[in-house]
Amino acid sequence: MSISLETRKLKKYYPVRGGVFKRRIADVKAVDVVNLSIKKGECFGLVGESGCGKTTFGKTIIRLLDPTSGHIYFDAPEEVKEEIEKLESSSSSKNSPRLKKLIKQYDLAKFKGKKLKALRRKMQIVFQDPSTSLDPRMLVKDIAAEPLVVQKLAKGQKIRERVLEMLEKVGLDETHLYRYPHEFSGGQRQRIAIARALIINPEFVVLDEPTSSVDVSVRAQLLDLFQKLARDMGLTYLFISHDLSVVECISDKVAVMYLGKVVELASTPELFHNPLHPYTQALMSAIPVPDPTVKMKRILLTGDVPSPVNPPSGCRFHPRCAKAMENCRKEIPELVDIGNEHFVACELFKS
Amino acid sequence: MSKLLEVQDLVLRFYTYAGVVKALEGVNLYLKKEETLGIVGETGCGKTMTGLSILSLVPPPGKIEGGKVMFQDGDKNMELLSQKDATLRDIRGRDISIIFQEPGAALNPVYTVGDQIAEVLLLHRKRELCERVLAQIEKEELEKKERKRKKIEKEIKDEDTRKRELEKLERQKRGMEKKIYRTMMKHPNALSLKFFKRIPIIGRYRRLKRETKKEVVKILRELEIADPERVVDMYPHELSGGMQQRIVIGIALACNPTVLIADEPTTSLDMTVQAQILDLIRRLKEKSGSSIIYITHDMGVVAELCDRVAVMYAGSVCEVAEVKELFKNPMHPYTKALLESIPRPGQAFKSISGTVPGLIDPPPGCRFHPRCPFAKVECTEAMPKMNEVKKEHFVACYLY
Repeated sequence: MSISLETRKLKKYYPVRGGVFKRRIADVKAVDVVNLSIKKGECFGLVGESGCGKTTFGKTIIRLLDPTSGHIYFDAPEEVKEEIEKLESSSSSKNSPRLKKLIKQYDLAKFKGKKLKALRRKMQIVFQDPSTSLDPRMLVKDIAAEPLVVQKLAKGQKIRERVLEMLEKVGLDETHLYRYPHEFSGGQRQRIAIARALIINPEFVVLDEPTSSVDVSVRAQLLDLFQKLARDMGLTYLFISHDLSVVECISDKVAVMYLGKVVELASTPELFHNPLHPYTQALMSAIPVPDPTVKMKRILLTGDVPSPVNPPSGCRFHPRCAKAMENCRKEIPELVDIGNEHFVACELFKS
Repeated sequence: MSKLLEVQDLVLRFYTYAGVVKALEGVNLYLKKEETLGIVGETGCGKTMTGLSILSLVPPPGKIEGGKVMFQDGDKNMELLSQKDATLRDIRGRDISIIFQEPGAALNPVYTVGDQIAEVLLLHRKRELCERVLAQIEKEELEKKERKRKKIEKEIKDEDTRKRELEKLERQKRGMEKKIYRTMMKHPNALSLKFFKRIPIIGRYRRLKRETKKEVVKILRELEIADPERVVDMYPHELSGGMQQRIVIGIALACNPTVLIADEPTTSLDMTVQAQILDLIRRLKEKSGSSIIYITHDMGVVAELCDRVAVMYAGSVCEVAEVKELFKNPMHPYTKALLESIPRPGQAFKSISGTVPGLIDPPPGCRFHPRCPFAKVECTEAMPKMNEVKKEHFVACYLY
């Protein structure tokens, strides 16, 4: 399978301003050097605690936020990525016109204006909380039609037809067209948000905790819908969630994030059967199992996630890690392949 | 084991402009001593309202229109819904306390967390605190006298004057302060205290404040909060969600209540923090021997924490059983569907068809019948009664 989206050394810092002239005094390192590649047709799960930067990552790759540095490639040929890397690494060619041209053409992180708008046709997002992501003063038919209007993909009667078709796909019907978002339940609102995202037939969809605000039974309905739509429309998902049990069921590959860094990356069955990073292990053991006969051994993490303004030195997990060693404090571990497409960033698996 | 709390045929209605919302329709539950009862169900099924009704905390326009809440603890035996406000205030927080859903909304943003925990202490444990203050004053007094006596014995050489001085010392008393705290202990609402409060310096009750703060710090330490001396003086917004929830739990447990109602205490928290809080609740329960009503929609949490479970749907309880029994042998079609809708890897997602009915105009008979695959004619006619199908396994369904 070919790669749909890839990030290289992606960084997103939020400035913290202070002092008399509102100088930049520090950075919130929300996403700090993240390399991920998502294959076509895949559902890529991204998990982590709140404040670990998963939503920021999701918003940055579709350019709702501007990255601080790094590259985002969408459907770019492999040779181009290599060439850019090569040109950038040598100091002589750092300012070469060839590099500038390539970046302008392929690097999504630098896209502007028309090009960016064209890109939005292929990339869409479903936000976390549908009660805030839907305009309360717009009718459902207008909400769902907005992408079509903005992208000038349809006009007049055609819009209505497309909207109806899409609403039916997400399990709503004609009677819902002339209603406002507040008249719907949480699950139905999320369906409207999904319809809006998918109406222009995107290739890549970011699902930012789409099931966190709905009930258990509705969650199952939505997950089922996501799978069905992916099959029918050939979608690629980035599924952001803090609920590991959901991620286990829906995604093909999972990355675990902690304080702006990816600490572990593997295919779903591999990660859930053989979690290696101490953080992943703690996260897994925290899932309550819906079976009273199973007695879990908990790895309890003490304290909260440290502030990303001033993250701990070395491995960012070391203050909460039970297996922390001397070296963890000094060296930042890199993601290492330990076979079976399983990557882990931990001192324990260095060799 | 005896029943500690029993809810009988509770009926709750909300009178809105759109119509009468029949929020609770004959809820029957009981809680035994030292057990954890889980209440599960979807949003809007009335689980939170059941919790609030027990303490008569239902917000307007809600009205409890029928039913009883029997509370029995030691020599206390009363029906809670018919009690006066003053009696209820006495019970809330001391005998039965509640952890609210969102810690961010449950805490008052303009008071420090220390003040908010102290509020409960001063309401219900003032006597105990005053006793401690008095003991301390007495101790200090004795020490002071001892010191003075030594000084007199050392310095005054003349036999007669020394004797006189010592006698004078014996008669000396620090009257004022002790008197205030004694009154406070006996009559917390005495008029004289209200006067004293207006007088500067005297009205500060500094000893009581110091003693309360000490107790608050002790509570915070039990909740495993790092650096409790600093946290006492912090405001809620300075704390993370997990810490805020700990404070709310601290407020609820400050007086060692016999019954604790926990209303989705971990819903807004992260997985790892949730694990911490669950662990904390379990340990605090073991220590204090409280009984817990745990309201949640997470089946995983129920499986882990509870001894018995009550499943609610659209305003009434449809199944009650022991945890292991319920998960192994669910009987009510709704319970079955709910358990099946938990995502499991490698299996297709199953969900309950249809949506939760509106409670202004709920379906007649069994409220689950429009979504139930086993619905019969009689289901549409009258609401099924609770039957004890097996020992300790109650189901409200015509199938059994």
